[in-house]
Amino acid sequence: MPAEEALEKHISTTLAKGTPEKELTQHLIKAGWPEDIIQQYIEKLNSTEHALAFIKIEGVTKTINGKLVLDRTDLTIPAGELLGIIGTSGAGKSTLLYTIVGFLEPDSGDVILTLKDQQAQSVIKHPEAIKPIVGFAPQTPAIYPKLTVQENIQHFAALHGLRGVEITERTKTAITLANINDEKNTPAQNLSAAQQKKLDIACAIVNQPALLILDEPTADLDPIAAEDIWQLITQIHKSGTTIVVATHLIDDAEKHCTHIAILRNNKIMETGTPAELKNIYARNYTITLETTHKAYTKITKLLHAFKGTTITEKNHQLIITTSVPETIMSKLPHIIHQSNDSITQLHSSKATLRTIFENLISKPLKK
Amino acid sequence: MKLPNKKQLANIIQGILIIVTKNTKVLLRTKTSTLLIILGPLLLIFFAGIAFDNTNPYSVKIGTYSAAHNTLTKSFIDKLHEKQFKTNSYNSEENCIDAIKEGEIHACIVFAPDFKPALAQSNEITFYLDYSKLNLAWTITSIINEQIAQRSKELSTNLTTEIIRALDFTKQQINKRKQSVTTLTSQNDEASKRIYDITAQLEELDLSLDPNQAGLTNLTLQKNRIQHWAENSVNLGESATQQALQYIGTIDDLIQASAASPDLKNNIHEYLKTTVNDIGTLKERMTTTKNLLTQESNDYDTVMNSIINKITTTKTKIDAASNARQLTIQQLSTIRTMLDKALISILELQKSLNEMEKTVGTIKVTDPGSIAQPIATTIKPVATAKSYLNYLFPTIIALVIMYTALLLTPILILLERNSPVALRNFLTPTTDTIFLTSTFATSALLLTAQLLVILLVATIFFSSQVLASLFITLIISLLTIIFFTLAGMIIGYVFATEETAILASTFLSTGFLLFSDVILPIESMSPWLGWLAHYNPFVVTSALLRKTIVLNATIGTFWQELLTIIIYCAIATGLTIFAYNNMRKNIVGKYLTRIVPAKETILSKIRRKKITMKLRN
Repeated sequence: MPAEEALEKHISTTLAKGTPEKELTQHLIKAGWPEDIIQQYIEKLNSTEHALAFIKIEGVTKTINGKLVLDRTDLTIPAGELLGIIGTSGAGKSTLLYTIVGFLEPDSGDVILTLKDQQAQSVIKHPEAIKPIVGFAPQTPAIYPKLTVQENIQHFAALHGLRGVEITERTKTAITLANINDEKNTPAQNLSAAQQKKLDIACAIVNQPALLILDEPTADLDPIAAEDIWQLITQIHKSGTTIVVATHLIDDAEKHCTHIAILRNNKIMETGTPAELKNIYARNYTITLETTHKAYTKITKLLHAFKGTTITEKNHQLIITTSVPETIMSKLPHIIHQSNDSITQLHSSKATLRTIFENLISKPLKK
Repeated sequence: MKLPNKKQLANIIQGILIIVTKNTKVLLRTKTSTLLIILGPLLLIFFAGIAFDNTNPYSVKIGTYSAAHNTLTKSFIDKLHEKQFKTNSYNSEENCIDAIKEGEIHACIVFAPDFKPALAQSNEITFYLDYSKLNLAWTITSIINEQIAQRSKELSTNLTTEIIRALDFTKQQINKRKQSVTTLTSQNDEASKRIYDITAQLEELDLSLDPNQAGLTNLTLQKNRIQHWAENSVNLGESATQQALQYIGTIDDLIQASAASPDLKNNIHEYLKTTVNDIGTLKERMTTTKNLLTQESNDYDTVMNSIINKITTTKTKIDAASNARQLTIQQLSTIRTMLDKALISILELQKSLNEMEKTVGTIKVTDPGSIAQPIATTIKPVATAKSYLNYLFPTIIALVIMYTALLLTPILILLERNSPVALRNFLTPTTDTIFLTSTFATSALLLTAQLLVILLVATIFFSSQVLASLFITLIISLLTIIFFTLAGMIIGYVFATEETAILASTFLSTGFLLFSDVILPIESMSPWLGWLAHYNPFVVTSALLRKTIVLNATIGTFWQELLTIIIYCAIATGLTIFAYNNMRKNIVGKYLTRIVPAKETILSKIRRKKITMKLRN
């Protein structure tokens, strides 16, 4: 938001001039800015020593229980990205995240953390280096079910070395940001799944991390709740936090992430913004066809005549990916007729990230 | 290693307190943990208090059988009644044993037929016990034995009284006879002396008699000479008389023939005639004298012969006396020798009597009770505990601490360890030391709170004696808490799931319990196992608590146990750190292998579809 960016700049320049924080805060509150937002920016500026430059994953290989999970994986995460790591189940998304935060020691390779104005250092050799700047939310909410929302956040604030008023203020900020103010005194176990996830993320950001790692934040959530979580993630990202999200919900990733990394067969296969990826891989259109008989053998045979067309059957529907959508659309009624069938549903769209992903993972790997 | 400054230290302490507070909230808000932490010990102490706050074996039933009850068997049974045992009498040994098997009674006492004390075969009491109820069997054996022993002691005392009385009488008799022996000794001595004197006198007595030396021959010779002389004199007188008569006749004839006057002649004649008459008388007298002399000589000879005979007889007698004396001397010598021997015997007897008296005198213990039971088996409690609870109390404390620490601590650790929250915790700048310390402190503090509640309840409601040694009890209890908390932490860090950890805790605590003296005395174990059991941390801690709470012992008497538990704490600390580090290394890997791949559940898929449809519409 330009206004918030202006605010951040104003705070930065005013503090640089030597204006006391308290005075500036009061001044800005009078001007109508919420105190928690002001505080957030002040703290962000105060913690420039923890400002992330980038994280570089270099040839990380990891085997768990004899199974190769990551294979010479490379990835660079520059500051400011909202990076969605997408991949199938078991592709190694979680393993990659745990390696980034230094939980897992790779069999080979390294994770290099570079903070602004500081020398790069290995997270593997110095896992404590990343701790002050990272927030982490694993797949299952990492919260204490018996503690209230407030108590949970306060606890993690304390573990991050915050004390006294700081804890109260940061807790308040995190609760407001996660929009769980009404539930602050509710035990976590009584929250809905979405609220628990929000609390989980609130706990992860209580230290106002430069890097937030989220593992499947919307797993098991309904689309509305998932959207709610994505809104929260976007909001956190907008406050300047670099976010890495592992997800298998490609549509959500496409919608909300600034950057996407596709993990396939234990390797990062592609990285880029969703638009970049679509420009490279999504020249095709997707036609979704559903017929009365739902018998697609003959139709598939006839459609194979068109070059550059791939056909898959999914959920009793025929998914036709083609570079010649107009031709197919014009021939389709005839083909259906030939098959003694009739169309019940027909939908045509340009290829989404999902189709790109599906195409990519269906391709055999080049050796 | 750089020591933290004041600010850092305050920060660390604050960090620990925050985690401890969180842990406590988490635990207390979990119903099962709350039950375990608060209600568990309270219930335990409550029930233990109610159950054992007495000194009587209320519900122990004893069966008895005797072929013929007598006063003695009845007295034994009365003794059992005194101790509030319930007794049932059975009509056969088999019935009594069957009653144990049926659970009707706990023990059966069978008295020997015609039960009498101190008579072999008649003084036997047989116990039948159900050893499948081990501890009850031990308790019953102990209590019944005590009662029987008391009665036995009374009987034994009576028997010993008789022996003592006999001994006393013997002593008196010895004392009395000792005087007689002394008298006998002196009499014997006197007799010996007298025999000696008599012997000497006898030996001095000259019984030699030589009749020749008596001068009887000389006497006879002198008599013969006198007789001879007398006869010669008589003979000479007679001859002289004869001659005088002749001369007178010649004179008269001459005178007559002389010319002297007739008258003169006559006168002379007459005169001469008178003279002749006188001479004749003299002659007669001389003859008489001679006869008398002969007669006297004969008489003398007769007397002399009689004397000689008598002397000879006397000599014979004297010789016989001499022989008798000799014999007497010999016999006296023999008697003296015998007396000497008798004296030696008497002296020996006297010595023996003295020794007997001395020996009897050396029996200082004359109290029959003490002799009947020389080692005073009066069981006096070292400490004056008011009820079983007081004896049981140290064990209860150790038991509560052990079980709670071994169950609570792993639960506390695994509640967090198996939750993704652990990952977030480990990603904060909070150090492992603070996490470790906090976990330890949470458990230790909760246990301390429990302990204080138990102590309070026990003191207020069950008159426990804890207050007397409160400080040292608290120190030992804290050491116990530290050790078992660390042991619980090791389990929590070693085992990955609550189920296995609880199983391990239960196994460990049961092991500690089995190899302790709670169920059976350690002394009943095999030597090496018993030795090992003495080093069982539960045994060490309960022994320490027993010494302080029940015996009020000073630290000097149990420093070894104290040192042992301190060493255990140090070892457990090392192992805890090792287990923690090991867990820390593997936690993410284990978490990753455990988490379900992020797939949409069927339910969420349906929900998602429905909502998508709604949105489309």
